[in-house]
Amino acid sequence: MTNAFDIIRSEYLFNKITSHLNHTDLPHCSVVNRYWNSLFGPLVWHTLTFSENLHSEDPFHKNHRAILNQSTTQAVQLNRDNLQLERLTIQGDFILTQNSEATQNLFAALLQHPTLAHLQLGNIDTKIDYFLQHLSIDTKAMDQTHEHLLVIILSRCLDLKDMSITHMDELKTSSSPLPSRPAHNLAVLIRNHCPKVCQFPRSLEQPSPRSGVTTINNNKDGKYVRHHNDSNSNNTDANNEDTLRGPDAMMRSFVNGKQAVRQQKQQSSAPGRP
Amino acid sequence: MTVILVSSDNQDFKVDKEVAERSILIKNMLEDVGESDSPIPLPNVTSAVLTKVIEYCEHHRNDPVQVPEETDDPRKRSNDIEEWDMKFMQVDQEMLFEIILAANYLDIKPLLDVGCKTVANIIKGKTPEEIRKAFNIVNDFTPEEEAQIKKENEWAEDR
Repeated sequence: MTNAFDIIRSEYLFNKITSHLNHTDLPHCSVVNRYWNSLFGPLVWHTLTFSENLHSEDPFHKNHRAILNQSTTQAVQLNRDNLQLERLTIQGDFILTQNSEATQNLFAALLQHPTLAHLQLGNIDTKIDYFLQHLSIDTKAMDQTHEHLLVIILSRCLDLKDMSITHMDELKTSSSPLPSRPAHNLAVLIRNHCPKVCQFPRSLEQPSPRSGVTTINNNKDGKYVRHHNDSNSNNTDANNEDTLRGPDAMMRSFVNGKQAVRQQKQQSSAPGRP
Repeated sequence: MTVILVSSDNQDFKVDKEVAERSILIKNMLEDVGESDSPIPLPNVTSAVLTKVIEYCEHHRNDPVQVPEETDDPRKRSNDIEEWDMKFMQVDQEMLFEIILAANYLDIKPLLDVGCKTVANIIKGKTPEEIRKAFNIVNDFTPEEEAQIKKENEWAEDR
């Protein structure tokens, strides 16, 4: 027997029905079951584009618009780099205030990002480490709302199922050490290292090993392992994984990665180099 | 002038042209074919559903043609259903589903809108558990997963 909501199998009718639901209804729908979550989850994000928020000067709405616009810009960049985001149909970096469908596509695409999805095999440190290698963010002037949303976005991108944003207060008090909480660790990283404007590099494809950079490759068994490529040592995480675990390790490899990029830039801009 | 509509189960329905033309699909067909007594087959609509659709079209035969809605319309209102339409839509979910599909197929926009609003109204203001009950859906989340999603969505609700 069918029920009225079987019409959600038609995208057009689904959109027509959900256009009558508001920012309170959509989150409820996303909790109904897994299937509904896959349909309504992305829609929850686009509640931010409702017209009442579009031109609102309310700091809350402004903050959300800002963080989502940042994410969109990243996604546009990803799309430009041909990272197989077929479902991403964004044109330009204006979409969040113009096109809620594109916002929906954005999050659907991010959730299915193949480059990030394959990292499910790794541990949390590996995922965060890998992601942050490619992400240069600055959190100055980032407030709690920004952080919360960004952490959720990142956690979804990274498929960090075991990461939960349990207490907003913990994100606020990043000085208190809670090394066992990945969410907190990530929040600390974001707080300390995230720029206001997030930028992806030209490509998120597997980077070639560079000095001081941790990379992820397939080992013989097909599992993803991290290799720390340093000019002064030949350590790999496969052999010495514990040394790179925990927030300190993440921070170290992240900082190493940043330094390496900086060095590389300096070298490439030095006279006599192309 | 009347036209004959034939349902998927081969029942004939003789209706005024004016009523039939509430359906843009039929209107276009009649315009293409011109003056003709040939019955119009509607293979996607059963007689039970077609009866309801004709009832709706009869009631709204004198309504003005609906202005196309704005494409970027924000959250639309679902509480502006006329009383007659609301009663008309008091059917079981299977029939509601069929009416919406028929309205979509026949391109009867006002009926489609009312149907979608009715479904939205079933959802509105309900908790996830109430929604499950309304649509007879089984919750396949673990309590932890459900709690996590609720937590992640808090920012959207706390406004």
